[in-house]
Amino acid sequence: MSESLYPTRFGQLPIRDEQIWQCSLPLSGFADLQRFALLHVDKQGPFLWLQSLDDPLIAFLLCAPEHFGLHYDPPEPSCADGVNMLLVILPQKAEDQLRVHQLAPLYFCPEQRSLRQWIVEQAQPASGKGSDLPPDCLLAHAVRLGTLSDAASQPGSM
Amino acid sequence: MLVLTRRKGQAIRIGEDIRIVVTRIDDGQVRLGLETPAGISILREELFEAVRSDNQDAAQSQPGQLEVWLAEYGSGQTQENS
Repeated sequence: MSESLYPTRFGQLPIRDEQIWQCSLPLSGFADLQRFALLHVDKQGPFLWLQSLDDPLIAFLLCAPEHFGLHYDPPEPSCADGVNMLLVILPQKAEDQLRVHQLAPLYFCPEQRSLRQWIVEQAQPASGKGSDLPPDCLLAHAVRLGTLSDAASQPGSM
Repeated sequence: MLVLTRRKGQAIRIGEDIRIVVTRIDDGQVRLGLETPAGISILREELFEAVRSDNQDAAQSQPGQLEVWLAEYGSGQTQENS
């Protein structure tokens, strides 16, 4: 298994081939971004970072829909162990609240390590709460980081 | 912008694979039927713009901001939706 160093929002990180996800349909507004890595920072619970490997300055924050009381059935075509995640939008101003992009979940296919964004008119209410950690099938292909301060101290951090 | 005049039942084609048919014209509204290859994303423009805008907002999230938010609110406050 080969491993390469990539510049990211969290500094230079070694990322193995099996940790690289291909975006089969580009995110709207980000047509040039096709390769991503999932990063999990210790003590950030259910949150994952979707780091672009084509633009080191872009990383999206993800969380399972159930944490926001939402559920999405798999889109067509679906895949074994496929999982939906939502883009999280952190508050940029004091009066803002944390929110999610509920119109457009990201659907991950772990076996193919592919992802795509799809559009829904309306989400369904979730029947249960989300886990304290991201889905196992995503964590299995994620880069694990220590605390954010550890990550930021890596050479080339941004 | 190319502007074409079509009547109900008439169509236009874009390339070999895309066909757009005017199926109804009624009270200031036009209903269109679209035939496209699989994998082509078709969205009403206002939905397309909303998705793109929220994608741009999501790209603004900074790693340090999450740490600040977690320290202030913890993980029990994730119930606000857009």
